[in-house]
Amino acid sequence: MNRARVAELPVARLQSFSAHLRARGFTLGPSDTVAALRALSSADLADAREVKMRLRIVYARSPEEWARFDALFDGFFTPARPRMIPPPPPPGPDAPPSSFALPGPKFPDRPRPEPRAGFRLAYSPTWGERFTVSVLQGPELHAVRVTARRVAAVLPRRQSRRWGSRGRGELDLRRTVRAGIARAGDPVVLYERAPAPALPDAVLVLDLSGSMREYGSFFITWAWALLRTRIRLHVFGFSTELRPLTPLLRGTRPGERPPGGLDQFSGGTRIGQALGALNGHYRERLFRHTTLMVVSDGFDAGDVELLGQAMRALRGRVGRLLWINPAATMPGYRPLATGIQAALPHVSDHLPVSDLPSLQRALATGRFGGGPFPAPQPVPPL
Amino acid sequence: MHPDIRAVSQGLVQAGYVATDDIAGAVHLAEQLHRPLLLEGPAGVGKTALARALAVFRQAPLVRLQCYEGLDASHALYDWDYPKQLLAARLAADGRMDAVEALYGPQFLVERPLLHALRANPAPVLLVDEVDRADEAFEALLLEFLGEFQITIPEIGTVAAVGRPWVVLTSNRTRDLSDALRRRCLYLWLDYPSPEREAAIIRRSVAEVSPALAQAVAESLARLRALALLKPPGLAEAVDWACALHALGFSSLGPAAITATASAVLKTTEDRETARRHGWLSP
Repeated sequence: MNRARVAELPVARLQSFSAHLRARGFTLGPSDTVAALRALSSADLADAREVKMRLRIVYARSPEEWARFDALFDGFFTPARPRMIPPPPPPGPDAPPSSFALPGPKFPDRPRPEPRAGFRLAYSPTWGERFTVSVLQGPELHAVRVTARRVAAVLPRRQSRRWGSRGRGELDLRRTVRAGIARAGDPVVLYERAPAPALPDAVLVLDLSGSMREYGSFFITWAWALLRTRIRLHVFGFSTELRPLTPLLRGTRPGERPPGGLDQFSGGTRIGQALGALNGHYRERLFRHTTLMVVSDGFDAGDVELLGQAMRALRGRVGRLLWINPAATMPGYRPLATGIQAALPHVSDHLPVSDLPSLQRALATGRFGGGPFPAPQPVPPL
Repeated sequence: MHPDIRAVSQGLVQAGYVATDDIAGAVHLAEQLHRPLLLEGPAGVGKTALARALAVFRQAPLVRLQCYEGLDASHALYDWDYPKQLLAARLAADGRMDAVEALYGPQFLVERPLLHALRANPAPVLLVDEVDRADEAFEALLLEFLGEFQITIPEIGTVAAVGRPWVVLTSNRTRDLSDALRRRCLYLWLDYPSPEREAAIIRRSVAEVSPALAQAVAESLARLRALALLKPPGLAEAVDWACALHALGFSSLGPAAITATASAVLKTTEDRETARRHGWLSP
């Protein structure tokens, strides 16, 4: 790298830009700032478009970060223009990102009507209470983690196509030859190997609308704990629009609110649209061996017919579809909400879970299990 | 744009790949920073084609590792030639081999794509295709290669790259890749091309198609992709469709032309139904 050129680069400015991104959920280290400096060492610094393009390639690591980067770059490097209305307060370290657009065709959102003082002209599914959730800590978290590990252990799994080192299946030539050395090259002891078990595949979809307020923190904590077990899990959240939560939850520490994204859920509920988006944009994450868990009380303010369609499509795609319903733990509960009525015909099981004891009950009665998925044939050796 | 990036862009065009500034910039930075390039995006937007074009542009051989579930070190990195080892061990019993270590020498090593990419001269373009299809354990195997351009074989030692290969990884996002893998790569999100770029790609692949028809095909496909199809058409479908239109002698894109050639674009019954419902395909 040309040292003279580096001297001209705004090193301190780039460092604080890295910190700015890190505070908004990007996982960046000092080596990334160095890579960014090297990426800019031959750039025309007066050309903002080129600088933005180079930094995006170095800093962004996922489609979500790729989509958010431009707005974050502009917000940091472009000085604020005079405004007619006062600007919002500057974002703090745990503030939501300035945009959280998904790449690709976005699910169209209905226009949000201006709130009128005093009364509402009509009901809209996007209206409702906003609330924040945070990951629990201390003994509560520990108990949730223990239960999450037990849930992960019983989720159905299939055999992988990867060979393990133990068991009976076919001859393990590598071990046999290695052991033969001790017997003057004669492969006296024949070792075998068998297919290794695969990690269970699961997708967890959390309803974070206003009616789920009191259960929000428990289920976020459960999702957080499940992400730290030995399963392959994708977590999504929705109120009116589906958002991936996995990267946010991975970066959250106990007792914290997930950085960015979660606060942006408005109070309304559109389960049908959210599950339709899951089946559309994230279809490639749903397999015949996936356990799909939808956590929702089924109070749907969106199109119920759409919910039925989405559920039918999802049921055909995944191995097991569990509907986890916190409202069903209330005494005398009957599934009368339109949303749950549309959804129930398509679920594999309907679980009443609202807190840790009810989760443990569901676990104890074997509701998370289910027979093993059909085993594929392991890959034959070349 | 920087002259080096323009040069990469022109080089890729000559290799048959119509690149945007983002794409040319990413290729340029991957070369400048000696980092692997991770490409993500929907199926059929030209991720694999970019690696092929890079190989043509840099006049380097292309080494391809197609990932699949169950892919492991003995399929991707290296393996030992067991029959040869057994034979040698038998001969050694007669006192013709000096040491047990000789059983694990280079003559018994079988190169798989990653080791081949390290030892090849000139340095090749290594395409690790659809890395999301392999499991997490395989990603861990890749880390040393991606970070240091070397592979450690316990019995032999560390094999470093002769010349640094260009490494391109692609993913269709069937699962999240680990942060460790992402951290070692530069990242490029490839989306469906703009109608102008798609028209340029069609004209480059099917020279007989008129510019107006290519543009109409591209715009029609952009409308179709907005319909939430089960299998949205990619670039290969765009080229196939233009070929089909040309083969049937259509010079413009009317309802009759679309009906006659829709099978090149719509690949499931459900998608046909959706396209019909939204008026893209006449009933």
